[in-house]
Order: sequence, then C-alpha cells, then structure tokens
Amino acid sequence: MTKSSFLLLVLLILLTEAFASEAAEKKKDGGDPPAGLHELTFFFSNDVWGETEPCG
Amino acid sequence: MGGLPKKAQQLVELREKKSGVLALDSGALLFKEERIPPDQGQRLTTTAQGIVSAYNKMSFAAVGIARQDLAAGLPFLLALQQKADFPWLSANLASRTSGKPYFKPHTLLTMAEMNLAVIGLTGNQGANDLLTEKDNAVILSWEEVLPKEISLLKGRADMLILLSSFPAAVNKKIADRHPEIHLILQSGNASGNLPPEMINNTLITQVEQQGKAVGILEIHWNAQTKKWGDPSADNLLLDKRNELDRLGWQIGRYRKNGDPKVVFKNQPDVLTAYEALLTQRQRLDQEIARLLAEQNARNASRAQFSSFSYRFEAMRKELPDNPAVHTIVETTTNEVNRLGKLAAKARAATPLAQSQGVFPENHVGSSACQSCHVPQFKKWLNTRHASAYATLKRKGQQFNTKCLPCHVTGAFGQSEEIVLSLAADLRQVGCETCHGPSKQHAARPQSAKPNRPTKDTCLRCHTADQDDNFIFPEALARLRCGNP
Repeated sequence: MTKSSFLLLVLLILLTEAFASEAAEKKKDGGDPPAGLHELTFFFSNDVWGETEPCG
Repeated sequence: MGGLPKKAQQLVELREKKSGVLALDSGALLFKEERIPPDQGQRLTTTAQGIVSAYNKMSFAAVGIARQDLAAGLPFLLALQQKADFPWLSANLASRTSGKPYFKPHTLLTMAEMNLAVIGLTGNQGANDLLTEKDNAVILSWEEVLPKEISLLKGRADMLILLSSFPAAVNKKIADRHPEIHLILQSGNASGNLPPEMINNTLITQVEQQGKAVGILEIHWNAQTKKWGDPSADNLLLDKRNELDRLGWQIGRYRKNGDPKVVFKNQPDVLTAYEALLTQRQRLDQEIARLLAEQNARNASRAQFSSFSYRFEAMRKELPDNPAVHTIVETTTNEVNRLGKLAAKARAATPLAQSQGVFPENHVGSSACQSCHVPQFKKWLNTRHASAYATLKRKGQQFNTKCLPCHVTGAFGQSEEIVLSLAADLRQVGCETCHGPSKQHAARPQSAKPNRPTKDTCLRCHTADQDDNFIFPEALARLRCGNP
C-alpha cells in the first residue's frame, strides 16, 4: 500500500466516524424508539389569525 | 401576536435535533374574522400573503382551511393557493353544482418510513352567507364526505390525520365514529392550549389562538397495530412537567430585577404571591419524582402500543428569530405600513382629517389633563407610555393600523380611518388610556370622575406574548399617579 492510499484510507475512516457521531447526536435527543415503532414529531399550530409578530 | 420568526426558529432547531418532523396547521391561518372590514382589506390580504411566504420557508406539509380563511373571498384563497408550496386541504368545501371539492381533500406523505394521510375539513358552523352566490360553493357536512375519504385511503396509510375546524364537540363525535383517524389537530376558539385527549383511538389536540404557541407532539407509532397505549399515566407526568415549566417562567418574572425579597420588600402582596409560587414548585418537584419512578416501572411492555409525549411552546419574546422568516415578516409589515401611509395621505384632504386631527367620542387628550394635574403629567412624561408612538415611528410602523391601538390613545374599536387620523395629543399612550375618555371630567371635574385603571385595562396591550415581564401590582406601583 502506498503512502497516499494509506492516508486516503485514514481520511475515509475519520470521515465515516464523524458522520456516525453526527447521526448519533441527532438521535440523542429522542433516543432510539422501541423496536417496531416509528418515531415521528408533529409541529402544529392553528388559529394564527393573520398574526405575524409583535409591533414594538 | 404570532411571532412567526420565532416559530420558524423553533422548527429549524427541532429539525436539527430530530428526523421525521412534520409541520401542520389546522386552519384560521390568514384572518381572525370571517369578514374583513372594507377599509382593512389591503392590509389584511398583504399580511396573508406574507404568512404564506413564511409557511413556504418553514416547509409546512399541509394547512387546513377554516371559515376565516375565506374572509377575503374564495377567489382570493384559490389564487393564494398557487403561491403556496404546501397543499391547502378541505374535503368538504365543494362546488354547489358538481359537489367536487375546490381544494385537495387530502394529501399523502411519506415520513419516518411510514405513509401518512392528512385530510382537511372546514367547519360549517356560522353564518350562511360566508360564500357568495358567485362562488358557487358550499361547505358540506362531515358526514357527507368523511366516510368516503376514509374508505378511499384505506390500506394506503399507516396513520390517518385530520385537520379540522369543526367545533371540539363535533371532533369528539368524529373520533367516536371513526377510530380509523388517529390524530385530530383542530382549530377553533380555544382560550388556552388543549393537551391531547384520547377519544376511542383518536388523539385530539389544539394550541391557543393568535399564534401565541406551537404544539410539539412526539410519537412512537406501531404501524402494525395502529393503536395508542393508555396515555393517562404518562400524560399526568407531562402535565406536571408543563406546569413546572410555567411556574419556572412565572418565578423568573419576579426575579428579573434581582432578589424579590429585596426588590419587593415594601410590597407584601407581591412577596406573598412569589413565596406561594416557590412552595408550589417544591410540591411539584416531589410529585414529578414519584411519577417518574412509576413510569420507569411501566416501561417494560410497551412496544405493541403506540405512545406519545407533547409540549406547548409559548412564543416568548426572548426566543430567537429565524433570520429568513424575520426578513419576510419585516418586508410584509413595511408594506402594510406603506399602505397605511398612502391611506393616511388620501384621507388628509377629507373633512375628518382636519389639521388638529380627530378626537374619538368623549376623548379630550392629555394636554387637557395637564392644566390641573401638573405633577401627574410630569411623571407620565417620563414613562414609556409617553413615547409609545415615537417608538412605533422609530420602527417605521406608525401607519400600521394593527400596531397603532397599543401605541396611541382612544383607538380601540375605532375604524382604520379614525385610527390613522388621531389628533397629535392622542398619539401616545396618554391619560385616557388608563383612566378612560375624560371629556366629561374636563368639563365637570367634581361630578364626572375618571376611571381607575384595572388589570384588564393593561392586559389589552400588555399580553404575555407582548410583555412577558408584566406584573400588574408592580406596574401599578411604578406608574401610579398619586393623589390628583
């Protein structure tokens, strides 16, 4: 194995780990759902009545 | 007030933390009333367009149509639909002649490796003349359309959601008759957030009106059984946690200016109220610890049933704004202000807008009070009430008739024409805002006494979303005029 392909391999491992920990971080808040269950979040609103933001 | 930029930021942050976030709105998004006052049409439709742009930016998955959304007319909503990236849903707003719905009756989505179906229903309570003859439209009963929609979606969705603007009692009836519907998000007159209530196999929930809060419902769904587990015990824990959050917020308000025992040492009533909150919090902490232990013991056999947890987020002032939606809202309010300015200019030539401006019925202006109540007037000059209009002007919103009533005197319940033509002496939150119209008092000081301000007087403007630091006894002590 050449030096450059070794470095490429190391880089790939590091990148894979970085993505894996990012995904784990994303899951951390809710935790894994129990087996067979789908995890879904509803963000809902109603009766906004044409309001946008406070005035001053 | 809505606080759309805050709502957008909450959604962004939620999506950063969680995968599988679905944003839905069950209706009455655009207007408060079913009819728009003729002089406010342009302002309100401009705002409605801004809201649709904001909802596009937030990637809402679907929005239900309530009767208020038709306030600017069916053609307006049909045209606005073209600008929306999300579907407007109504299975029962249909052509009078063909019976075909004007909008999509339902939408199918895939999320969290599940197929979801969302149906929209428009409430049909209220005046019959909401739709004109020209609209050729009718709001059908739910009994006419819902069974058909459900049967059409049978086998195509792992979860069925209904966005309904029918009254709560009707939604309960729907849930009772159609356990195939798993979630009803309703709109209508709710004075507070309505935590999820289980009817049969359907959860029904709603957030409080005026965009003051958003709801977040997290579920673990079993797509095989499609059954909710018994939520009562878990819900009790959530209710207690929500209660604890509210208490923490209330306690924080008392602490904002330092140790309440020092700050309020001369106000025993305020201090007693603060200490009662502390005791209540201690009791809640203990109860939550007990419920948590019980929940852990229950957690073994829950995989076959679906479960949920929920929370309501109030759009508090200190929450961060989403920059993109903030820009949309700013552009919209600037346009609304520009329209108000044009309207004010056009009215400048009318007899109503004379050079000295308009005094609504029985109002006399703060200058008249000054002649007898010099110290009180001087004290008021140093309050933010005296510069409330200037604040609005600084923000370039002095022609925005939505904002004006809380920044001037005597504007509540008045037409836009009057609000834009108020006399200079009323362009601040003056004496008559707290003490009521005082023309009679100015003429006959001894026999006609002005009002004393009550908490309700202040709460017209100092609402929790506008001013979440407002404590009536504290404000009264600070602003009290003293003996006249």
